[in-house]
Amino acid sequence: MTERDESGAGRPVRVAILDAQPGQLEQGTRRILLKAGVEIVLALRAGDVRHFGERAQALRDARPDVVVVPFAANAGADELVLLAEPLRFGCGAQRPAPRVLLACGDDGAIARATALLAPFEVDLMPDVRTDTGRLRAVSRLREMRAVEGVVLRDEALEDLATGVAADRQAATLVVDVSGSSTSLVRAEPAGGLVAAHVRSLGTGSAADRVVARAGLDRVRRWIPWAVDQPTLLERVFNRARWPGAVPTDRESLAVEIALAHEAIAHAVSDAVAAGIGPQLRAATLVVLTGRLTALAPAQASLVAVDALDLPSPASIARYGDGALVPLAAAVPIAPARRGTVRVTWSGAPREERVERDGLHALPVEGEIEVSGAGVTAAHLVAGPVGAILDGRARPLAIPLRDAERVPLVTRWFASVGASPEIPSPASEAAST
Amino acid sequence: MSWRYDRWSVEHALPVGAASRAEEGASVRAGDVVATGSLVTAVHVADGARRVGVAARDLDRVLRVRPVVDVRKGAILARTGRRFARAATSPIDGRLVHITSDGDMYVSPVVDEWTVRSTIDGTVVRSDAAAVAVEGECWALAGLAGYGPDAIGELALGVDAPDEPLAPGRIDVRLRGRILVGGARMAAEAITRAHACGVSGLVAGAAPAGGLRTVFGDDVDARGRASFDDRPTVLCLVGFGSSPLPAAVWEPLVAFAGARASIHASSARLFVLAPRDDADVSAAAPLLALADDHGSVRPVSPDEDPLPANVLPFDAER
Repeated sequence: MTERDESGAGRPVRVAILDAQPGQLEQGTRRILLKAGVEIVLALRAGDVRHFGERAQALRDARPDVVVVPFAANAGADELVLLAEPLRFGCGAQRPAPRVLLACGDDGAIARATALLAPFEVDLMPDVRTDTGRLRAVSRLREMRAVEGVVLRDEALEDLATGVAADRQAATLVVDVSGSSTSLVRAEPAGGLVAAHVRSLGTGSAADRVVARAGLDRVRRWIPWAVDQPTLLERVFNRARWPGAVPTDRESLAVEIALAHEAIAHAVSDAVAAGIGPQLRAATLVVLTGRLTALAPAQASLVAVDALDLPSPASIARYGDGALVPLAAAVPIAPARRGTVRVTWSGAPREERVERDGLHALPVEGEIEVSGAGVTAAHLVAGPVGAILDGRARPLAIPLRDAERVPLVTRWFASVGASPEIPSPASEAAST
Repeated sequence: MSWRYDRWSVEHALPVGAASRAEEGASVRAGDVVATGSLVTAVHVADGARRVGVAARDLDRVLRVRPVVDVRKGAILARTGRRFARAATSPIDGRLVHITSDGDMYVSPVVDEWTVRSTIDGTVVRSDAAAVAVEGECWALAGLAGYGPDAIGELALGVDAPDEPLAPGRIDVRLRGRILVGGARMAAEAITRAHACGVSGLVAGAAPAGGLRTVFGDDVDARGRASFDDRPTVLCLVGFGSSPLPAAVWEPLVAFAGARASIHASSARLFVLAPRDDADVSAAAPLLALADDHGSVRPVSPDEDPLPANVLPFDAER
């Protein structure tokens, strides 16, 4: 958890979306922006209730570097006028002026839109509903982020996911949380890849943005003791403005874990909004990188299990020093009154009962087979945390009242040995 | 280094709808108006190019008035022809603010005027619809996060020591128009009382994050928020919660008491318009340490042994 975790972020690119035909191109556009790893600072749609002055002021305040205009056909020109004029009024004098990325496959619509968007420089892209259109737009946006001699973190993560998937012959999901971004990258052994690189969701400089997006209560709910809102907010704000800070007591560690939970959960929800959520989460191997690798194995595993809401069993590992280190096997169990999971470890089968809403870790390590009612049969690799048998109903219902919330969350943390404690130097040496 | 006397360029971002601006090359003093304008609301559209029968690109040739200018209802905005004239007229009393790419004209009612003032003495080096930048020499102290509109006033001390919180009881109307220096903390009560008493702005080591939400809204973040509306101006120099000021920051503040000063909220800087030799500042930046629970920040001595885990110099890029 050091400054090097922030390396490879590239040049920040602020993007505003002018969507004249909402519903038609929204998912394609979101997929592009998620994969390109840019920051979406404003999305204006044709039905926006704000008046001309407010739209123009919102665009001026957003100071976009790039304005993405997905445009399907000339029929939306009247709506585009309502968005293009606030852009001309609000950002016409901006220095440097924003570039416009016009994604359109219709010549008539291109001519009309280009005229409406003058005097901004317009880069033409194919329709975002086509693979070519998406590829071209992603590579154009990544070019803008590129810094000479620096490999973009997103590209490094995609290489990692592709390499691990090919090596292990398993659909692999790489989950990376840094101080300022959160990435989810899924690769197939055959080579298919989907990715969501979300800026402004992280546990460091973007900590305050996580709170702004998720709400303070959603972050607070993951802390297994009572903490008042103003105190938590102060910790988050100071953390956001302290690059490279390391948690040195259980309070700051708990905030880091809570922020990681929400950062991943919101990255997943962005992926769902872009239409790639189910595809991303269908993985048999989950690899954790970035700040997650600095958490204790049980803490990192619990964050992944809670936030990813995996649909089927998966091995969880962390990537560090060029190697994969197994952490746990996550076994989600379809909600039922009670479930029985058959776990075969070292050739010896055993049956584990899991109560509805129950969560516990089975102390197994190495290769295991799991099956049972409500469990997809799978071959997994468990690490020091063991097999996490998760019978909790989804979405996780966490009460707001401390009297109900604290015992529940404390039990979850304790059941997998993930309570936020800073190891003493003596215990650290002993475990080494 | 914390305090620095230098030549600074300060960009004053403008809201949309600027009607007048200081010209490039003009000399201004801190507090002088460098731009005025009005709030642009729902606009009324006057048919322009189509109405007068010219292409949108030729409209400029036949315009009678150009944005931004006040117009009366029925005033001719553009006109062609002599005997059989074709004219575009204003649909309302208001301000012509914008001409579209199709050659239509947007007229906005004038509902609320705004002004932007310079925060330093100097020369205007940029003036356009987006910003007016002023360049000049003065003392500056880079803070962490600024909230509210820019503020200009005389610097006054609101505490006796750098680790004292700013007490609401010490704030009254005699401090109207001043920039008040707190110590370790300025709570929401002190901020709102100061605003009610007409205090121009507040500077301190920290403000409670919850208090900032109370005053500036729930969507406020740790990066600050410059605005143009009638709100308090707050500059957090070190952190959030509570943060005593290091001696190297506090002592020049004491020396500058009574000098003209300003808070530039978007860059989170405190400017003091005093001569170069009015203060003696240390070249080394003081060290700051983040508390173990991340709830506060405190100054540390380089001799402290062992140094806390999270230590940064005051001028580190944060």
